[in-house]
Amino acid sequence: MSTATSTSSAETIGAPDVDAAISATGLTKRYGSLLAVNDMHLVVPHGSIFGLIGPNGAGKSTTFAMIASLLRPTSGTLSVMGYDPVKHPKAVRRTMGYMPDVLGVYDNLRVDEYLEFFAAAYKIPSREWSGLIDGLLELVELTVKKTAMVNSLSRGMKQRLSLARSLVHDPQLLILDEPASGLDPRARVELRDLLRGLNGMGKTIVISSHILAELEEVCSDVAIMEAGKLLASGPPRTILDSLGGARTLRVRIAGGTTETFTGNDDAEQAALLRRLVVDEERDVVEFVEESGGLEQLFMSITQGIVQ
Amino acid sequence: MNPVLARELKERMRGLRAFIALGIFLGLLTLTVWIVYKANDLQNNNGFSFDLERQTRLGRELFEWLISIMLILLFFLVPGLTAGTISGERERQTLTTLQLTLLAPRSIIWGKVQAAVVYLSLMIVAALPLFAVAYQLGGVSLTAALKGIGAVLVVGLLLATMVTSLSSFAKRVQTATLLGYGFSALLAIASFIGFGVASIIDGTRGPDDSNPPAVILTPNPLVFVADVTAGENVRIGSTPLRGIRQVIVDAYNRNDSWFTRADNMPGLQDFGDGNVFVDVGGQRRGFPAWVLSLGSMTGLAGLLFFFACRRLRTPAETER
Repeated sequence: MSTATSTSSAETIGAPDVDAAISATGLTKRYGSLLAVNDMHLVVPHGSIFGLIGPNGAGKSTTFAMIASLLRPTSGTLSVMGYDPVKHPKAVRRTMGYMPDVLGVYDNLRVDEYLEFFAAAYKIPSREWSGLIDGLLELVELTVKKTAMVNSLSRGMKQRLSLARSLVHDPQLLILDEPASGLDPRARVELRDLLRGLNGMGKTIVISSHILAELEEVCSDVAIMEAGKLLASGPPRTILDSLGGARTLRVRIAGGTTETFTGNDDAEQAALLRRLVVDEERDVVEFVEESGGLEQLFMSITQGIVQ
Repeated sequence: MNPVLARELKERMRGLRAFIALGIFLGLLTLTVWIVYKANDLQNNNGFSFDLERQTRLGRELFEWLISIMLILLFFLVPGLTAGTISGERERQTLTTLQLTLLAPRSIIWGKVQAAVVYLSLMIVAALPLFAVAYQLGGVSLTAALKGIGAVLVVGLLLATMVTSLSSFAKRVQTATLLGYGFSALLAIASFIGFGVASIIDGTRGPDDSNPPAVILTPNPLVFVADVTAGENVRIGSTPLRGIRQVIVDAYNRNDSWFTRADNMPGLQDFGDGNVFVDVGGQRRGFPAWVLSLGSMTGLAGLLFFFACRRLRTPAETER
């Protein structure tokens, strides 16, 4: 049975948090009678890799469009890197790189010309283009394709080129809408590594994906949306804890015996380990919490509502 | 340089289409020169003799036909060059990334217009040797020739602005193309139809002084070019521009406070530059048709450009 829940971090926010990369309070977007985003309270911490999860039509792309200063919210407040996207869209665009879910590229340009165009569009002085483009192509591993025509690139390469484009003005915040869709397994692994590398450079990354296993490996925080509502937000572990379910613990004893236990929280797990090792003097060689992961979390929280 | 202009030019000049279009454009103009020359030769074939008047007439005839055909080609070329520019960005889903750069909507649209005008300029420059033939034959002064070519370029700029602006309202290239060609056709004929309809309505009311205002004719590129190129030998021969000039002159002679003679006015006077004004005590009164034409078309282009900028402005209420 799935359970709808909200964590405290999603509920207790009163005003936009300027210390957060993104902060939304009561964010709402209405199209006529359709409520695409409904009273969303969201905080994306600086330096995090934040996953926005939800089924099709949940309102993820609409949320991204509002964060990216493309759409005007119907109500609520929104702060992106300390700026209001409605009042200061240019300031937001200077600090944010956006990669939409659909790859729109100019086919009749070379890879370096494509990046030059966006460097010019972000008003980067032309003397800096050469070094900048070489650096970006190296980062996304497209150096060998520098003078290739964009229309000759594979989908995975176009995806990486699109990521390089979103990085052209060195934004501190990256918004990536379904970046892994349509990629083969190798390209997905490469993209994941790339995102980790970018996060290591201090960039905050907000990413949406249908592939939960993908997000699970990279995201430090997640938010789950359904039918325009934010159901839960925070580190996956915290959300799972808030659901109140017992954790399954797998313990392997020397000699090959494996036993399973349940524990509701960290204190119970510590007590169990102490009992096994100290009191019962058993040779514990492995003590693992079996995580249900994002998939379990997603299924527990969402109800399969379609708007 | 506007980044959109630089990118558009790279993309356009990289394909074969640009050169094929240029070839067709020059081919049609060359054919025009040949047909006019042959027609004139057949009409006046009186053996081997030097006839300065005939040569001058041929030069003027060639010039007027070249300008006319160039203008007609413009009505086909400009929508082809510009109708899909903004809607194309929307269709291939590159508009969003463009809107999220630091480029203002006006820079995006203006870059597209500039790219079209640069390409049109290339076409016109490539056609200059054909104009040189007309100039060498006489019948058209260098100033008049430059005025005519400049007028065609101005029409190209205004038409490109209008059709590019309209492109921002269409979601699909196909719709934008229909819109662009429809609008161009309307711009070419609407004022004549409007004036004709007004004249018919007026005719049913019996003879009076309140004829339909000639100003109805002015928001029209053909009227603009016809009036700008009016000058020496304008009444000789028969070209489309002369036909339009006759309509303008007829309209001058009707009751119109903008630039026509009222019955109690002293009369029209030709000031020698092809433009006819009401003469009041030696002072010019009213405006030449080309000024009104340029003003109304610039106003229309400016209005469409303004609404197109609003259309591309973000954040927006709905995704565009």
